[in-house]
Amino acid sequence: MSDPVVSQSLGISNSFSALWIAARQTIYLLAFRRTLWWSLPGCAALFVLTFVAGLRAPDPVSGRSVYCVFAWWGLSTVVVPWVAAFLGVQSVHGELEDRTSQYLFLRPVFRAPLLLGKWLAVSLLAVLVTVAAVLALFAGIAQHLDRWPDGVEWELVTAFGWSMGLGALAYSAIAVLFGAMFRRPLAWSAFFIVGVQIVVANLPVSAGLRQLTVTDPLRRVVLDWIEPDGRLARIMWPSETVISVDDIGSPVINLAIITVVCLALACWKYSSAEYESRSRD
Amino acid sequence: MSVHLESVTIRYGDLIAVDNLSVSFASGSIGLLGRNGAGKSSVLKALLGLVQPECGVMRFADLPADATPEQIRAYVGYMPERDAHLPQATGFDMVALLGMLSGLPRLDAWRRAHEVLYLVGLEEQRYRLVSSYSAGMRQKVKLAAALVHDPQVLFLDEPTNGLDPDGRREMLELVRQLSTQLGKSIVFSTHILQDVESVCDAAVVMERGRVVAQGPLGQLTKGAAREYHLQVEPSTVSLIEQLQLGMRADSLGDGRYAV
Repeated sequence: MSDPVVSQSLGISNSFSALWIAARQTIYLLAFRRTLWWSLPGCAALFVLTFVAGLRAPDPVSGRSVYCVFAWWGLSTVVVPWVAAFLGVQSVHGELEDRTSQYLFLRPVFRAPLLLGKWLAVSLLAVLVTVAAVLALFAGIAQHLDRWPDGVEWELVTAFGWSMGLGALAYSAIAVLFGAMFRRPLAWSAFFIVGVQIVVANLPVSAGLRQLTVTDPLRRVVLDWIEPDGRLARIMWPSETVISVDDIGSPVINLAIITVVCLALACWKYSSAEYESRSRD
Repeated sequence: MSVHLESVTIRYGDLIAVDNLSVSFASGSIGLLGRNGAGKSSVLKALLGLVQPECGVMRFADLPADATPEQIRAYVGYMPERDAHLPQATGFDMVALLGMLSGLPRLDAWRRAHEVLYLVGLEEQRYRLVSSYSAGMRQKVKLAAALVHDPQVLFLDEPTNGLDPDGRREMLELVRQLSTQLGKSIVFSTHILQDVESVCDAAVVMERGRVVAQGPLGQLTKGAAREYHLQVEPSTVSLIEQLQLGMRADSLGDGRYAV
């Protein structure tokens, strides 16, 4: 055996190293799970969806309208939150439940960088799936050149890729928080995505609660990018009484705050999580 | 190594796992002996900062009094009782990854992973998936993971659990080697007295969260009468008659006898 070689420094560099290792390991582990691979047929289905919509929509409907409606409703309410929820919950709660997290907890590293590494990995994969979905939807409708009288608007891909990517980061942070905090994190995710968000995001702005959701800041990011006409805006956001680019505010900052707060809470909870939850001597 | 615990109490809800425990572990190999549920694992986990005691003081003589759990885990290698393996990883990948997580640069972690896997006798199987390992090999890879960052002290929690006689002998020989040849201080937690006798210099015996005996093994076993509990079915009468010819057998009730 060689001499001791361990650098027992527990400083910032070791934490960064732990974060990076945890991220890489999480990507490696998630790549073996089925959830991620379902995104491939999912993207194919999205392509078919907008392609068929392009074939069957009434003639005056433009490719821009078809894409914006499908991208907003499909991505912001289904693809982005659920992909982030499944990946985040599996990587944090799944490991706590099946006790594989013990191998991490036994090392001389703080737990917060380990959790942040997991969030980074989940975010990266969720953003990749999101971008793939954005492209698949666009590729479906872009086939119908007759619906793009002024040429195919590639900037829509940038708009939805950027906004939904931001959404993926925030949803990943929420999923990681639920994974660290709750015994049934998927149920809580469902409650948040289809319960809280739908109710709160449709409350009047004056209620002041909308900033607690991801949907509302996302809506404002999309609104800012694509500046839809009144008809398209009403289809995308039917519950909004006033849709104006003047009321956008700072949606990116709102999303950043949600993300940071969720990650801080998740790190606190993960750091105090029981080493072994099922059995005790 | 010298570890001191003073008035330590560990509680899980209403259950008191460790009750006002005061004990010291000196250098060398110390056996932590007791039945399942005696509180042995809780003591080890509390020392590692994995479980928060309700009250009491714990201190490693070689570490500062305010050492963080992370500093303690750099100083101590822990082999948990239960499997804590990485799915879809080979033995080498797993041990190297844990080395990196312990602060080793990548190349050093690889080198150490090869070394410790060789040491525990997994050199031939190191590139196989851990999920395909036998029980004995899983115990060995856990030991390798505990050793990878070259800790001064090893906490081994039931290392012979689930092993066949040959595997058990091998594991005990390995532990003995770690102590005598590599100079590691070892706390060996088990419920099997023979294991402690074969690898430890001293023992701490726990029961229901308390220490009931401690000291050098020779001193603990000196003059102690050996008592064997045999359960024979369906009838114990003829056996007892035979035993009574040369030995004393007292009924304990419920068909049990102390011989």
